[in-house]
Amino acid sequence: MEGKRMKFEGVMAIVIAAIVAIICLDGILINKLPMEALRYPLFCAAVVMLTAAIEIVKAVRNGTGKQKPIHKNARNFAVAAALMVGYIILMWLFGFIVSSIALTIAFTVIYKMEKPVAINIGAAVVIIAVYFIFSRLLYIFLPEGLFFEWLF
Amino acid sequence: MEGIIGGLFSSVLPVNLLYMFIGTFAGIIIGALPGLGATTGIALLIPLTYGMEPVHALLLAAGIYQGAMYGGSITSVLLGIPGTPTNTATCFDGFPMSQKGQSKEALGASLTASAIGGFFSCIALMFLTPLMSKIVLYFGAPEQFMMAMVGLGVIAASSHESLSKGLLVGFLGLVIATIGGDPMTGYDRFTFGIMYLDDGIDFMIIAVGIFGFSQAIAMAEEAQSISGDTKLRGRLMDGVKACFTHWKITLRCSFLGVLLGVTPGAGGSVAAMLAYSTTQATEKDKDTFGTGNIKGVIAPEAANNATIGSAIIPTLAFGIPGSATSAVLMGLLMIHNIVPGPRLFLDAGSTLYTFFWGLVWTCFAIVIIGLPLLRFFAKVTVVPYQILVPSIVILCALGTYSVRGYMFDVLLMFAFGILGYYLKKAHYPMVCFILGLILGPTVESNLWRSLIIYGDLSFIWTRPITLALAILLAAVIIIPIVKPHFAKKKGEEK
Repeated sequence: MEGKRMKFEGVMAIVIAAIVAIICLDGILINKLPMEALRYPLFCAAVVMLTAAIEIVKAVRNGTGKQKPIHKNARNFAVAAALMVGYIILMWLFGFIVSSIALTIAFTVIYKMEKPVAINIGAAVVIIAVYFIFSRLLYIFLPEGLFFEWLF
Repeated sequence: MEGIIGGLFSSVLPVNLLYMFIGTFAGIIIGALPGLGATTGIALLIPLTYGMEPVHALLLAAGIYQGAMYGGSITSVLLGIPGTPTNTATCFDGFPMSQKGQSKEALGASLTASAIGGFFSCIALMFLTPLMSKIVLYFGAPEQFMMAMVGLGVIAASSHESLSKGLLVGFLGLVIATIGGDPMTGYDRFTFGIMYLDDGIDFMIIAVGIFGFSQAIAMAEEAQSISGDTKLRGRLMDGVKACFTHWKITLRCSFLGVLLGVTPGAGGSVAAMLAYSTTQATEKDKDTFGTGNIKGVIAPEAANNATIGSAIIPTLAFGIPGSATSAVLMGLLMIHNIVPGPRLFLDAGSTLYTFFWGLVWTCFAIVIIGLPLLRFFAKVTVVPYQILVPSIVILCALGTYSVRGYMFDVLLMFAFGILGYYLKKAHYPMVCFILGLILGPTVESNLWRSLIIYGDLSFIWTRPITLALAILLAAVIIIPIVKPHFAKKKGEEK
């Protein structure tokens, strides 16, 4: 027999409550802030906890044995999330231009785009143009990457 | 009156119109780039204007200001990424319209609402500056606190599916808004010892993550373009017409924008959010908000552009900038030896009236420049997801990195993107979360200021404006809760 399962809304209520609890614990236990700096955020946190409890109870009550899957296509989600994590790591290491070109190539190859070479050349031109517009015209310097900073 | 007429004639000189159009075009582009807005645009302009005539510099700034406030709505509608924080509320219905293939209609509506809102604001600036200067003096910390509370009260109306869900994410927004320096004691709160969090988390980082990044993940997961298999339908002119069909919303939100623009500390983001929430709360089809209701595009766009002119009023009248953009604009004025204060109109009246008329003409300029551009922009929604997803991710990274220049902010944006993705999956109302984030700092700082002045909460019932706002707050909270019960009872009786 299948037991009652909590609806996804309840899981997210637990996640939110946990985030707020961690934030508050940093202020109370680690930073040991005085009460006058904590009063207002703790009031807000208390409302979060109360409403999270209501949502959890509702999610357990309304939960049924079978739940709709959270992801429509779990594989696609995992690939996209991995590519985005990789993009941030690459940007940190090799800067904006290399990481952005790598991301567009990865997407067109993994998700099987037609005429990937022409598209990627076009994308590379746009990315380099954006980099120079930001750094030369707008004086906003985009990440150059640890590797290139070390190299030059 | 002489000054106003003189300014009108001066503003229509071809060279002045040229500066306005250049400024407006640059403003639209700057506004459409996430992370850059009117403040950055005018700040970048300052060094270029040293050798210019003051009137030309001000007209360029007028164009950038108006253009950027509008330009941010283009990415909000097409990609779900707010170009500037003031366009965040436009994402709620603008992007779902794009997903339904109605991007042209949404873009037409945002353009027209922006132009109308901006126009009203400029008229207020020109004719109502003395009156507005008096009104603003009545808006102290207690009034600002109560006004923000009314905004938070709208959470009750915005969370039509479940009040507890709305409160949960609304107060999560309030908690996240407390990260960083405490406005009263100066202590760094909830920073986990990370120096990047000392100034708090910039709203833009969260907005880009919650709306843009989470949308990119969703598109990659579903492996389809923004409008899916839906063909582009509707015309730009349908959106233009909608602003006149819903003229009450356009006018009401423009008025709200003018009023909030003149209030120091409120600004375009608060005005747009309140306009969106109040429209949602008062319209009969409120359940369709968030799913692509054109009224949800008109309301915030009319309100945010309506703050432009009125935000300049306290800057000029008292030398107190009403927003970050007004502060930069004040810097531009002072560089050109125009010093805000009581003698301002005596010393530089003709230049200022030309600038005011310039702001009026830029409302028309955004329509003239915007309409032909939007026909091409609208096609973004049918671009294959393999190109669009990496483009959105790159734009999100670009937008968040541009805010402060830290890779840490890009990481935060990613984290908020994932959180936003799952919150949307669990049907939590993101409007409430954004309301909490935007209004949090206003609520907290003004509450403490009021408590220091009065010692207790008596300021709520001893000041006429706060009392009126308190009654409004009670109505905003109680009506959405009670109304369904009465409707049910009425139905049963029938």
